[in-house]
Amino acid sequence: MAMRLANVFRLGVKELYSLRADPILLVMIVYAFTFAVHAQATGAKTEVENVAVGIVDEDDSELSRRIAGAVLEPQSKRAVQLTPDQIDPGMNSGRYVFVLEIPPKFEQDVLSNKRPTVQIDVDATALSQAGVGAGYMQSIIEQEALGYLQHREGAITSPINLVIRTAFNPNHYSEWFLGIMAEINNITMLAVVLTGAALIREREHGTVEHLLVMPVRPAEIMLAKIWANGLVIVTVAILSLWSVVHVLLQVPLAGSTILFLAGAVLYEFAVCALGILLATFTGTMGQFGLLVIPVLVILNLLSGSATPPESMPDWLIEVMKVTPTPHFVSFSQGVLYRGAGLDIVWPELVALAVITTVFFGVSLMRFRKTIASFG
Amino acid sequence: MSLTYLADQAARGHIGGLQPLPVNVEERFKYNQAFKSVYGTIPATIMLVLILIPAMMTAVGVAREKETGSIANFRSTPITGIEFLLGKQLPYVAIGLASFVTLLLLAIYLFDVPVKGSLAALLAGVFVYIGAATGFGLLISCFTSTQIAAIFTTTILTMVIGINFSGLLVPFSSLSGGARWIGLSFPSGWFNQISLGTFTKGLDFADLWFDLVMLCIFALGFVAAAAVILRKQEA
Repeated sequence: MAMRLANVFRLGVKELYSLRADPILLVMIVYAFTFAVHAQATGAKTEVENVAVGIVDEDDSELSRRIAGAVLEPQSKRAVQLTPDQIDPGMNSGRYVFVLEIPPKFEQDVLSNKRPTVQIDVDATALSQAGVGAGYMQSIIEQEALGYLQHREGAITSPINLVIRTAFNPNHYSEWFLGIMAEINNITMLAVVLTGAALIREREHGTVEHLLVMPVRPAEIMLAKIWANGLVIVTVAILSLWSVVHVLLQVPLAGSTILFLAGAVLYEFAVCALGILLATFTGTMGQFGLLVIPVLVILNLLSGSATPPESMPDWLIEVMKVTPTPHFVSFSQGVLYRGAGLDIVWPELVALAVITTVFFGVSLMRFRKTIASFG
Repeated sequence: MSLTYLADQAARGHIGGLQPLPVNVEERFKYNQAFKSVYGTIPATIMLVLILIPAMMTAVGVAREKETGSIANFRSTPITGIEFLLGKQLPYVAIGLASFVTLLLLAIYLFDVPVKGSLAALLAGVFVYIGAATGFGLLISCFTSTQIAAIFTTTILTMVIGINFSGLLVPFSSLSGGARWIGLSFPSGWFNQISLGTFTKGLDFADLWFDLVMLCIFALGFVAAAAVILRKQEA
């Protein structure tokens, strides 16, 4: 047993040496966990504050300027004054997701209680913002018009006051969400590609045969690849979580670091095993690359890290539970955002352990078979 | 929100003595009146698939020859770098176009997402976009020396940019800071305008020519850069 562990250890060290020999690979690992995470967390915000708005103000009154001002700053990114003939080109080219059209004599009509109409043109292809943003724009316009009347007439106060209490992310900062989800997506991507490709390389170079004439077993070869590549990725990911997400983006990490680390190691095993499993289905690096892409896209888009799982059909949520990613996403959200303890997240850890075992078992079987076909 | 609720209640006569809102706000959902997500996601998914797969197909091409040493064969012949690269690229452009035809048929017949705008503009866009995607794969293949590094680099760059910074999850106009610059300096965001524009917004060449020109620049630029790197490695 000790001998086998020593084999796994030495084979893993060999794996680390071959990683070190490829500088471009190392640069890309660092890029993925620094710049790519930062850009995903800060630049691709889903908040309405980042939406591009155009305003066609045909009234140019105090009230219309108040509305424009309320939309302009500070919520919206770039609200631009347009002329009517600029609406279509601007929306066709995707420069504006919303265009407000304030009609002539707007203020006068409001004052004489004629209820004038403000039209909001919504680019309904901008799915993530069109629905929420339209409601938001509507409430801004109504607030401003009402505020303006109150200011002039000192009348109408609303009989109820709606207060929204947001749990766990009081300021709705999307960095909090996006930063950690970017980490998870990158862990998945790197682990699957690195581990799987390491196995393919041995086969393409024929060095698997070298290993096989030595007294090592297929399981030892696989475990060595998993611990070595996993170690690199978990280390870089945790460093990045601390430095980029926590220190630079100032995202508070609520729960126990040790618990998260344990979950990350378990997840790493699962995705590395997935990488090896995919590698046993392919013969060349090109085939492996093409197989990895659709698998990663599905894991990335359908695991709850890009859109809430509640927006998917039930059957798809169940299907996705066969993969490790949704479990790790909900584990991480529990631990890092809500400070959940082991008593709450243990089912996710059990699920990860089961999936890892199955992936590892199946790839071991397939790996033995492919080796047998060599001889 | 509370205002709209109160106004609604007042209009229904549940609450007396309250004035209706002084303005009427009318939302007009352009391009997609029913606001169905499929009209936005299908064009964007086509954008994503057509960057990921063609780039990956060409990414191992040159790196494999370097890894196995067969690149020496090319260096000992009078073939120029550009000829070598185009030979590696063209078959995959053809495969990419064939897969686009399947995607188009799926979009129209399975998902009921028609091409409302100019089909010719879409086809022109797809052709140049696949040229840019395969060119990007070649460029990666030329500056990496192992196949692992090639597929790894391609995966990270195309997946992160394609999914996050090209208009799939967040509209392109809402990107800011580093994300905006990354999005602008990669072909997928530009093609997303063409894909969305021709499928759902009903646009034609007159609206999309600038995106087409940008894609041409990417296609030529990537292959030219790959040729320069290849020549330097030879020396």
